[in-house]
Amino acid sequence: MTRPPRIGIGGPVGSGKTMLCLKLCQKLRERYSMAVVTNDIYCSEDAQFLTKHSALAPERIVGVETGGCPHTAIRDDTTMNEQACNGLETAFADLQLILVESGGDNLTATFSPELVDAFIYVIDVAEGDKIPRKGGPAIRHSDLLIINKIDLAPLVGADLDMMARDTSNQRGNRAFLFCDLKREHNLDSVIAWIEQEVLFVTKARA
Amino acid sequence: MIASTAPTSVADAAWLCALLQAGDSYYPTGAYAHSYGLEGMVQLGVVEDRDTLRAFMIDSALPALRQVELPLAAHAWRALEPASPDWEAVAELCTLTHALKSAREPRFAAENIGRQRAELLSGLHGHPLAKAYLERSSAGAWAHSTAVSAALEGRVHGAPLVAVLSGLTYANLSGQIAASMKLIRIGQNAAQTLLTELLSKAPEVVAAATEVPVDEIGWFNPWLDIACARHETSDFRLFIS
Repeated sequence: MTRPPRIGIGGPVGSGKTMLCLKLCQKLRERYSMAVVTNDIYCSEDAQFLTKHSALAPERIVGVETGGCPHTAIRDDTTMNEQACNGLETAFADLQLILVESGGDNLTATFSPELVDAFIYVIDVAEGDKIPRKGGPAIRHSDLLIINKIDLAPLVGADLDMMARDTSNQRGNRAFLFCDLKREHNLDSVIAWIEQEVLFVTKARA
Repeated sequence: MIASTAPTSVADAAWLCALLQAGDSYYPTGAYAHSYGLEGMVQLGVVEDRDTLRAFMIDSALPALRQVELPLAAHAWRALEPASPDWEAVAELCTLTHALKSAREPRFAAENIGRQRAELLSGLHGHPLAKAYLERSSAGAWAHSTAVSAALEGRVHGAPLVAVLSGLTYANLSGQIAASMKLIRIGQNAAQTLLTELLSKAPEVVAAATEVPVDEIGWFNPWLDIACARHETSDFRLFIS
């Protein structure tokens, strides 16, 4: 059975995961039939944010409450997210893309390959420019790493050149992008990556 | 459907529940922080997906259980006969456990987890056998051992040998599979199918382990030991070796 491609979006609290979901929905919803699953630890704030900003029709946005261990819900026991995705796929037979936004978590969170087809990890410069150097599975092995809020770099003293060097050292040839998602800086590059690496690849497999 | 081959009674529920508690990831032994060398093998590129993980588990994890951990626990269980414990034999098994771990971190892991299990057992149940073990191990400066502590748990709870070895087998295999989910791209169903396959081999592994004499306990995988030793100084890691 084929299913629409799913992209996992993970990262620490406040790094810009929900903003990325919103911007992707706004840019892609006319071209693709989309849905979003958001994860929050004890509320549905992210789902409400996307609904409030009319990212998609409300019935295409599903919130999952994961409790106190958000990485478990996307990596070790993905049952709740799988059920949410299955529900959306049943409700919308024409779905072409599902975004699964993780709850804010630490640098060890990764997505199960059974839940998603690709994994974008979002960090931001205000968390400290040493984060890429710390490495870890998400920094190293996510399919795309986004370093967000670069507009804040001068204000928080983040050295973007150093972050780029550290990121390259950790990831080798894996893609990463500097972004200011709120102002849509480099958003087109994110979309180009998704279309080339996820949607096109999936079409080719199909 | 597989028919039960042994009669069970309500009394079995006591030791069965106690073993389930001791083998639960919720039981605070610190085991969750260890990958038992698996992360080192991942960093060497030996284990990178389900197929290579399966090969590692069958070629390395199961033999180590059959020839080391389970025989150590079996001999300890026999030596810890509550009516007349053979403390000299228990001490020798603790020393043997220490000697068989050639890399530093796995040796310390056995020490730390073994000590915690024994102290937790004594604290939770206040059983005279557990207290006597701790007193003697402290007086004799024994190296603690995960396998010996598992046997001690079995004796305190009145569990039969095969149940103790089965619990140890499950905890060991499931712990490594759980670690693999954080280290490589493997999903929950792929992990469970592999664990199911491994557990299907448990009866033969347990049976073979009960027959291993003390002087034949041992199994050497230099590749794994080197991986563990290198992993100790890794730039970043999720687990203790």
